[in-house]
Amino acid sequence: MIQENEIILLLLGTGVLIFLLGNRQKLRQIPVWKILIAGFCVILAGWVLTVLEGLFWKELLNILEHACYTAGSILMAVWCFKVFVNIKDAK
Amino acid sequence: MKPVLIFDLISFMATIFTLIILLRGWKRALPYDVKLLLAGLLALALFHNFSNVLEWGGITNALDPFEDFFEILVPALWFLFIYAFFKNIAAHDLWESENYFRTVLHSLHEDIIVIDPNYRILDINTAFLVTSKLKREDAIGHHCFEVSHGYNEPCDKCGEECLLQEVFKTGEPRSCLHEHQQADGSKVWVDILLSPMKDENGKTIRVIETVRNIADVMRAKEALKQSEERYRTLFDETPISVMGFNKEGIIQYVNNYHIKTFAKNKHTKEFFIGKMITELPGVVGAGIADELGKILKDETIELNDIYFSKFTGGHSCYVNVRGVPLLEGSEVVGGILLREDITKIKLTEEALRQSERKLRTRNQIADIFLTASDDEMYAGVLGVVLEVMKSRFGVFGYIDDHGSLVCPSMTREIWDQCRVPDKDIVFTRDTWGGIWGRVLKEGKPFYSNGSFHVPKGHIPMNSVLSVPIILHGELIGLLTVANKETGYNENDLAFLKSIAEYIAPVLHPRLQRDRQEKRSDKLQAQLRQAQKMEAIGTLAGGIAHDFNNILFNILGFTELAILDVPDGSNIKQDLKGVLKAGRRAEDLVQQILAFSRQREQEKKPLRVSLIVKEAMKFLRASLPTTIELRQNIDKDTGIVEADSTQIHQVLMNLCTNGYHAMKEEGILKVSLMNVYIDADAEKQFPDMSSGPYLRLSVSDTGHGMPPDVKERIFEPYFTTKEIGEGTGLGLAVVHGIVKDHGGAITVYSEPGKGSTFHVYLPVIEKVAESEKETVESIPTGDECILFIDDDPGLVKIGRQMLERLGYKVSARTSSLEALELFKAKPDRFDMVITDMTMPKMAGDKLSRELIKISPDIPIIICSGFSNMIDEKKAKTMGIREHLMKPVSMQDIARTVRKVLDQ
Repeated sequence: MIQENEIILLLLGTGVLIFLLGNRQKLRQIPVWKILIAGFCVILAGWVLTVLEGLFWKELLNILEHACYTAGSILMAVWCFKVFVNIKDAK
Repeated sequence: MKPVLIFDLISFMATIFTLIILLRGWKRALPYDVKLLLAGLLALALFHNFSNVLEWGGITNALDPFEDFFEILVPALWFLFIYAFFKNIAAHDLWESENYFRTVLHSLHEDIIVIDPNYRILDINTAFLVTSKLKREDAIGHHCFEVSHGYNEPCDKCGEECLLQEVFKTGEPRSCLHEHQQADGSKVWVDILLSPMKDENGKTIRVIETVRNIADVMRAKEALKQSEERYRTLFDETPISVMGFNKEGIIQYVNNYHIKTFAKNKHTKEFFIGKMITELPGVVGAGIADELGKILKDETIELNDIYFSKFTGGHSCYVNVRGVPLLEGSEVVGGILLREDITKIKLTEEALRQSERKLRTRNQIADIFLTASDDEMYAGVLGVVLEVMKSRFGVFGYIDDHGSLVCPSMTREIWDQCRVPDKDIVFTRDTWGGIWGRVLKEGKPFYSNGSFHVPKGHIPMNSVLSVPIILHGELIGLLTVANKETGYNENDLAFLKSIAEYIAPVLHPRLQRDRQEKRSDKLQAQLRQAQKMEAIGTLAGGIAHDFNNILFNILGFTELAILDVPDGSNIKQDLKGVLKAGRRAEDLVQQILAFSRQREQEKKPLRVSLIVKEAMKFLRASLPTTIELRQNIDKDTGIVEADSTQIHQVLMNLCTNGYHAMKEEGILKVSLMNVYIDADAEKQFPDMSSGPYLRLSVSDTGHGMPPDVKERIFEPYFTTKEIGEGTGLGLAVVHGIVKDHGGAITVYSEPGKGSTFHVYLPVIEKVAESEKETVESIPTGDECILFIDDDPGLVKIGRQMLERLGYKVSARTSSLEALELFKAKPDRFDMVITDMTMPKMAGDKLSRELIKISPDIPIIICSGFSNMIDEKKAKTMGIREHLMKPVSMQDIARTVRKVLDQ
């Protein structure tokens, strides 16, 4: 069953994605931007799966949803590590 | 455990890890707001993960009501997080850009001034502060004309042009070079660029003035200009032809030196520029066009001693050529052709070679002159000349005393190969012909190449060079070379001429020495001859004395006999003949004495025809009848001043020689005629002056003489006769007599055809003494005379002559007896006649004694021959007269009477 907050979350996430695509030139100036954006995209994928699990394959999609969140967390951890610890990569 | 739980746990731990990293690196480079939003985003993630963990842990989902709300915040935080990033990046970019441009502005070397429409300075850069030495506050806000120029008003109002106003008005940038007057009054060249700064409406609100100090540039420009001028002068005036061409070989530039020297100013630079360098006449003529092509193939060429037969200037010369490619990077874009005129060097080298050659030749010749004998010298010198002149044949000769060319050193090959029958080593002047004859006659060198007309048998000639050897204007020799394979030229002529000039001062003294040696030999011969003559003279004197005594007897008795014989009788005529022959004998004795210098000859006006006629009579009687005598004697021949005996001797000697030449039979012709020697004939007889002469000619039909004999016939003791036939003195005596009479003698003779001698004697206008006898009365007397002679015969003749004349004679044969007689009765004698040569006391001593006794006693000395006394000496001693034996009766009668009457 689809929940309202999940729909709103997906819409907001999609809005953020559109913003990012509109400013993709500026994105390149963010240090280690590919990992950061990859992390956001994975999380956004988790949000999509959350909506979809209300429609079919609830178990599987739920697992995938959490896997996406996990991947997103890891990518963020890697991004922070590169930006704050391994400064050479950040530059 | 469910997989979802595992994922959530991992997410939870990763989030905690991320937060720890964030907190540890909080002071790092990211902007503060970014870090806050990131922290918030992580906090939400941590909350979400924690909620999930609690849910899976069975714990009541107490956080679910908050979870939905916080989940909705997550995208917002992502947005803010990214946005914060973007905002900070833009601000950073702006700061960085401004910082960049400001840094650029202050880093510029040029002065930058930002000026508003009111001429106020809004901004300046560091360079301006350094240049103007002002503080920033002294410039900012002040008028540019005050700061830059020290004016109180804008420049355009101070009489200076200012582009600021124009830029503000037009909005267009402007630039100019300007000699800027600085605030301290000094001036400096600047390059000014005025750039307008416009607002969004396009209005110029500011002008950025960029001022660049170009003093150094201007100085460098001036230096560059001067340097370029120097190098251009160097390029134009360097003493080498420089010609530049492009990669097509087309000439691009030429220097002035080429125009002046190689083109001789006949063409300008424009004539060359644009032409192909390989098509220049000089280059084509020299055959180096292909070599020049190598330059464009990146090769450097060097060609030395190239002969350019024809330059554009029309001349030719020797050139050293150097060609270098002109490169841009590694690409050949053209070339430079450098040419140096080395003609003078070549000429100098050639002159040096010639000088060395000349010096070497001179040394060789000098060595030969110093060391070689006469025979070897001429051949040696000719050998050197032939070698140095690369000639096959040659002649080296000298001019002898007679003006003939003597060639002791003709090339041996000439003698071996030449088949001309009359080739000779001595060429008399009348035989000079051909090229060398012309050279000798004109005294000028000459050469010719080509075939020559030569006599049959002569060696063929294809080139000849002949040079006279002249010293102080006098021709002394000849150098001729022939048949050089390459022919002769002006250089050869000059070289041989220099050799001749070198030889002349060396050859001349050598010839002089040879002549002096010959003259010395001749003088020695003459000395020997003189000594012989002196001996002959001494001998002749002695003979003459005795012979005169004999003649005195003959003549004396003959004269006495004539007086005793009546006129008209045949005996008297015969006795006169005897007397005449005796007189001739007397003359011959006198001639012997004269020839041996014991007696001076006696010249007097003489009609030679009479002598000749008399001699012809004598000759006819002497010569065999097989010798035909012909005479041709002019009746009106002139008078000459001569010694009759000598003239007689000349004729007799010439006729005797003619007879000897004919041997058994032949014709002997004697002629006598008047001739006139004019100016032309005078050249033939250098010792004679023009005028009337008597020519006595004697010709025979004998064997004649070859030229070498003819040249020597007048030399003393030269004879071709057998021993006993002749002494070699006959013609020498003739020559001497003729010369002594101011005349000349010539000979014409041909072998086998006979000889003719012409004797020339100058004619005078005096009347000749008559050869006819004049009958004079013989003076007589009755005085007493003492007669002394050691010869009893002469005493007898003397006594008879004097007594016939009426005198009283006391005669003695001893001088001592005579002296005693005179001492006894000195007053008895009126005169003394004494012989000179007597034993015990000679005539002169006797005379001295007699004069002591009676100083006034007249004394006559009578001598046959004596070199002890002559007429002058006798007079000094007080002797009145001196008579030479034999004495005729007339002579003694006149002399005695003359002395007694004094």
